[in-house]
Amino acid sequence: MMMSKKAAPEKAPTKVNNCTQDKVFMVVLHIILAFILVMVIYPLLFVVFASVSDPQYVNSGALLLYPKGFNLLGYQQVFRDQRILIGYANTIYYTVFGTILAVAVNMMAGYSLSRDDLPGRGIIMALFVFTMYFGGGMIPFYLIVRNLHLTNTRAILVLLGGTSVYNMIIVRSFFVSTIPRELQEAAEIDGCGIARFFVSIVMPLSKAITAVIVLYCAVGQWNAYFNALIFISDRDKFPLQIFLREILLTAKTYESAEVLSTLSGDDLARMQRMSEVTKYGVIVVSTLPIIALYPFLQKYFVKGVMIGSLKG
Amino acid sequence: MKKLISLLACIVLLTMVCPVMGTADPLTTEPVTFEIAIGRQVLDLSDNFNEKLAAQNAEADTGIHIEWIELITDSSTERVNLMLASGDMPDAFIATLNESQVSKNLTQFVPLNDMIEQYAPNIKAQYDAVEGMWDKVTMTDGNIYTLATGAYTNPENWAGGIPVINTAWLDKLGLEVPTTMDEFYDVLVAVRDGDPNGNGQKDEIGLEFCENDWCTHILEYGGFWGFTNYYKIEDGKFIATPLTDDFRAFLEYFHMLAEEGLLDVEGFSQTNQQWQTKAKDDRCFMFYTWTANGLFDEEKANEYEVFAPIKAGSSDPVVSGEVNAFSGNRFGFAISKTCEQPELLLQWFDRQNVDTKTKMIWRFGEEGLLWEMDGDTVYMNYPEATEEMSVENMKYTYGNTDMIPALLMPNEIPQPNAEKSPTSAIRTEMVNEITPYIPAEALPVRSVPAEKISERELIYTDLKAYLDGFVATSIMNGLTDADWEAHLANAEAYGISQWAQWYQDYIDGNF
Repeated sequence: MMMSKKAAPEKAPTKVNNCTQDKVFMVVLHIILAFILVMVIYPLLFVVFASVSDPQYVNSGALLLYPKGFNLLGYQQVFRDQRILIGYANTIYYTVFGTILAVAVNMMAGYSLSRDDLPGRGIIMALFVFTMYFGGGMIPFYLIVRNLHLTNTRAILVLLGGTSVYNMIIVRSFFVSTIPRELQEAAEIDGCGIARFFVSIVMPLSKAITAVIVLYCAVGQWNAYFNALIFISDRDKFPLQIFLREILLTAKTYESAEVLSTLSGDDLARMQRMSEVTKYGVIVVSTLPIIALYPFLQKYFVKGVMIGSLKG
Repeated sequence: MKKLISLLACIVLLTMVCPVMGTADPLTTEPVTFEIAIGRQVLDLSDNFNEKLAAQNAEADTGIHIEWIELITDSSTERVNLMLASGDMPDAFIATLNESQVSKNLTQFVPLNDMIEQYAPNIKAQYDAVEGMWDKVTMTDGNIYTLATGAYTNPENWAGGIPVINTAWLDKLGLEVPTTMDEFYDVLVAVRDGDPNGNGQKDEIGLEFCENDWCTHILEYGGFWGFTNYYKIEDGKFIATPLTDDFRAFLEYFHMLAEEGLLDVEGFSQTNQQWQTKAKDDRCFMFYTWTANGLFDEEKANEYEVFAPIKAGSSDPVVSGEVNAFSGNRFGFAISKTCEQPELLLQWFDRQNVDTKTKMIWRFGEEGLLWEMDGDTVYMNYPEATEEMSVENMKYTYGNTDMIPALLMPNEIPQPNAEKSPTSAIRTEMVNEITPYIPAEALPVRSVPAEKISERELIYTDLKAYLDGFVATSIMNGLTDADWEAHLANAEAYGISQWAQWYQDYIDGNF
């Protein structure tokens, strides 16, 4: 999708576009793209609108193109909730350290595997790839973590995001195609060791791919919840996503039988409305930071992924 | 002399105060810590389970410290499965196990049979007093691995959805409460055409339902024909209702209603909120619900009155429910094989069941807030909700409602109070009103071997999906003789006979 969008405007200024066929083509193309754009953007906008609207309108389907019954109750609720703040702090912690670790590991592993002077690199690579297709399963995984005494620790969530073979292959392909052997030899002649070469020459040449890996890892860590669900018991270590799950479940709870016998109609309606606005507020609050990251990395993103994957 | 008196006074005071301050009769003098996995509701606003009064009381009383592993109810299954499969188990589970987890992992739990007499005298006395209680907790190998928790029964839950109609609309239209199916039809037509909500639009809905709401299913209306589910039990016989002529009559009648715009067919797909919005917009004449007070303010709710189902088929009309239904958690408490002092832990559990007051503190926290005792009777009390906390939040924050190391026996069930817990009182009144229509017979409650559970689940998952689809398409599109014949063949192919036989064997005690 990215590619076709990019390609279209570049074609436009050429001379051939005078002919009718091309004009028709461009018009149709723009209509299609506009349609796709609406499809992608409308659900996002809807959530934003719903988060500042009266839930009465959201449920009855009256909310369409702009917020109705404007209010910020949902956001008040979200920011008053202690859990959200704890979760936010934890998620930032996991994301920052997880990303630093993951980028370090992936870059170094990708670099070494891209060098043909690494003995046995074929075997190492094969072993890595093997893990992409076969895993030990949930229970052995759990047992290993437990035997390492890492259950219910912050470290486990950081470590588990530490590497991904998929990202590593992207990095490796990038290095294979952009850092020639000759560059390394030239540096070696000047007395540069491998570590120095990596830090001072390879890294500055790999900003694009670094940005891509940062984005992949950061988004991954930000959205991760399953490992926390399985390994973490202390509430003060829960990432944001676990708390969000709880808040979403709360909305469901207010539909159950037990609740009906303790709350009067007004109270129940109020609670349901609360949980409904909170739901949308929470979605906005939790996705905003990671969406905000995209524009800054986007220019590297397209370039980086293409270099990594197409020639790989 | 003065000194002597004050000394004496001191001694007297000390002896009086000591038992209150310290541990009255601790179960252990050495520091002991147990690890217990317990269910946690998302409505719970506490940070740690040991903040709850009951947990603190228990520690002061027994001298045993508990480290709680709180498992959020909706995701506890995954965690518990991992614990069971990996053998990395806490000392005990409270309200986190289900039937198949227990019956598939019997060897992971301590059989309590021989320990109960000696270490759990309270439990023994209480279970002995209720007929059939021991059967409920005995597994198929004859051992007792789990003890029940929660509340033995809840009168508010004896019925499911209760049918209500808007009597104010009837008055406006000059009609009586219908007593025959013909009158019923006429009323629905009048509601559709007579604009009883007076907004000038023809937006009234005769019959409303919502498949996504647990108590407003379309099948509730089957009660007119004597069933509210895909089965009913008569004289100890398990009857698969989808094969009966009454079932067909129900589908045909409802197809007719749908055709004439008297039934809201959006009910098959709409969400809970969507249907409630319709009710709140004053569009619905009849529906099944918990109470109308859950939907409306008091004035509007009073317009809705319980409407007993009319006899439409060959059987007497019914509403769904079961009088005296067991609502405790039979797998509420289990001790793991990995626990080093199971006897002590069982004693700890028994101590939490010592009297009603202790149990109620576990359930709802301190006396006087959500409950109070008058003599031996417990009354529910629902304070005003605050900005931060609804009554539901309080129930799970101060206590833990049903997920507690105790079982309220039938004589300890909290009663509603018209003044202090009006919503419960209204519901109880409605249940009483409809009780004559609740079927007399229900499925027994007892354990089944793990492979039998799998067998039933295997059949029923597909069968139910088929039947749900069949009901929806028949009501939407109608039903010809050929369709009905095809349905009988399909139901057979989906194993409806095996399913019925499974339950018949269960009722007859063949496994």
